Amino acid sequence: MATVQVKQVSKRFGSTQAVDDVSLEIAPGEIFGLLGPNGAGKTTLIRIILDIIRPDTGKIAVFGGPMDEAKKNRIGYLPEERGLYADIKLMSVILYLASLKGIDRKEAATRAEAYLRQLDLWAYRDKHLKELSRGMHQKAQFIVTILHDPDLIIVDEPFSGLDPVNTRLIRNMILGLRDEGKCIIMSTHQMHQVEEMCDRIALIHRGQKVLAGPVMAVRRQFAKNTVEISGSGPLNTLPEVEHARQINGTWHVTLAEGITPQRYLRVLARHEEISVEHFTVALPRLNDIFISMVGADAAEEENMTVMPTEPAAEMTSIEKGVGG
Amino acid sequence: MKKTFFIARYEYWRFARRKGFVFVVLGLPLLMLAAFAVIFLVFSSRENRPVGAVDETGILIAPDIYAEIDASPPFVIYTSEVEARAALEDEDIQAYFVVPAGYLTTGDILVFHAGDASEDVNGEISDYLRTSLLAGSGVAEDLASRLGAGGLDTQFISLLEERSGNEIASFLFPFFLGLLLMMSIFTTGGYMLQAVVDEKENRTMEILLTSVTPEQLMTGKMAGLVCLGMTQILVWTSFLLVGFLIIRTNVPELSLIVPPFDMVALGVAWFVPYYIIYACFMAIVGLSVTEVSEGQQAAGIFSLLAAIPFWFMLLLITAPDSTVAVALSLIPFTSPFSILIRYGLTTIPPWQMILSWLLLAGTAVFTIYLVGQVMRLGMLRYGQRLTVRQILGGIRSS
Repeated sequence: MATVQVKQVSKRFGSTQAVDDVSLEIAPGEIFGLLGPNGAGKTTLIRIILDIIRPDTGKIAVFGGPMDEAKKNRIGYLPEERGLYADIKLMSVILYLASLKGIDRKEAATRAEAYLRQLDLWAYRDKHLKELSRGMHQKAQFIVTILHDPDLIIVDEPFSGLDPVNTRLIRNMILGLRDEGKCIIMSTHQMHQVEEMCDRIALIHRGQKVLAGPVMAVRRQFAKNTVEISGSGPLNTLPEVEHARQINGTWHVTLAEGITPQRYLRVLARHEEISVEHFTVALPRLNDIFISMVGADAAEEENMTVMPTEPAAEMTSIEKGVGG
Repeated sequence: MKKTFFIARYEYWRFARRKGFVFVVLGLPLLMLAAFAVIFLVFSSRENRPVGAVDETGILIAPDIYAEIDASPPFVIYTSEVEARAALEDEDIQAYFVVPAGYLTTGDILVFHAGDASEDVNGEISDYLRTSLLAGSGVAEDLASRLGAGGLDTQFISLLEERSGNEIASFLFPFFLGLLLMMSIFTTGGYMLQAVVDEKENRTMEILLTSVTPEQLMTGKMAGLVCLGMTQILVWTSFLLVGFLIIRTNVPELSLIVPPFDMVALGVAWFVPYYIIYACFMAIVGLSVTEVSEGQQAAGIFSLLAAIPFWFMLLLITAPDSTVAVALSLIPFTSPFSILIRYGLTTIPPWQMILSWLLLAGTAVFTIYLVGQVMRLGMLRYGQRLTVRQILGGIRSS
């Protein structure tokens, strides 16, 4: 049974169609990436799922039915803008919010201690939140999100404000929760995190779902007939090659129409003068897909994390010496 | 229900620990105590040195006889004005008066004083002279004592009401009680504005709403703040009561006045729903604005509405059963204060009491519902103001 079912949900605010006929199903044990530019309708959709606002049309089922108080106790939510109560002590806020999730105070204190120690915040438990750094705030709020062991976790930009060490810590915790069978909805603009962590994604643009599916399937869907190859011999001059350019010793080869990477690989193998050290079918980055779908302007607005130094793709990697 | 209680408890302690709250709760009674102390000091330092008397007619009785009548300040008779003047200059006496030889025909008395003589001197001299004149007039002793100093024992009996105590208390108690309750509402009720603006803008409210419904959240907050307000009232009235009881033991005239506990109960019954309405209004304002300062301006409108009974105060006192007074005690924004004032001055028909409370409580329940609706709407507009039209539109579409 899907943890979250969104069926043909629409929501309009005045003249703005915030969500337009969106349907999704998100299962336990998966990390679902909810992507889209600012103002696309992601947060509205999350709020509709959380029953903070009601849709104009369509239906939402969480844990198999409409939201109720018991189900709210099984949900953890980390909103994008974070603050909590600045003038309250860290431990006090954690225990208060845990109490609203139906967790016994003693149990909450035990769990809080474990998480605070894990995230290196134990020494700050009696500090007022206003005394903590942005990264500490972020970690504190992540603790609040998962302390009650929720089955559905919705995190909006979970890595913002975190240094690489803490990003990795939170990332591993989220992956661990997925492995425990939790259903995780993650909204982020850090596309490399989506590629590394998400099982499936949906791209929302102007309230509509414009793209959805498993991450690899989406990347394959947008893959051009391109391979990356390194080695020696006339790799770039074969008739199967339409266009090739060399970057840092690696050839980025666009294949001629009708030539598949597999066929090109077989052709390479037949040429004894060619030696192949590395062969990769190039898949587009989610970042590039995002830009192609929502436009470069929106991408700039997003300040998306682009990783130009990494190889363009690495879905199928074959390392083989051919004929050498 | 349990979650609502948690919210109430949290909100209560969150604000009760604030220095500002503690200062207001304890500061006001301490200020009142200081005022009492100043009044006490003024009265205790009142001029009580003797008053000299120079009798040129021979009618004055011996001061020790007069002293039996418990005169304050005491009198000292001097044989000549020179002696009296010397005593005045030596500051042995605060003033002296001369009964001139022609007093019995002119009735003129001369009073000499240096600095501020006690205000009581004039009355005391009159009493002394009257007592002296009566002592030598041959009037029967019991009759003389009636005509003399302290002979007048007036009792005021009101034909309008059979209330114990006096009319001043019937007005002053509800007035001050109402004033305290209003002050409590405006101080602690204002916390709601701040809490809502903060929680909305830092998105804590969204986290809370993934645990509770908007109605649970608002009811919890409301209960916490009402308890906070009641704590304030409890502390203030306790101080007042203790202060009053101390004064009553020292001022016999006040012994008939019994603290009107029924009035306190009435005040609480009316002010709790009023408190909820005010806090809800603050919450709606908080959800509609992006900064506390903007909200405070809007809060001024409510304060104006709440001040209406003060504009009609004279009417409420002089004609507590008039149509306007009845209307004021039925309209939810003005009813608590109006009912309290009228309760002290007249007998309010039960139907008016019941209708007044039901209208007030009904409005309180409606405003909680209203806040829930506005909250769903306000959540979407964080960083933006909500207009009245948007609020009404949102309520209609919900």
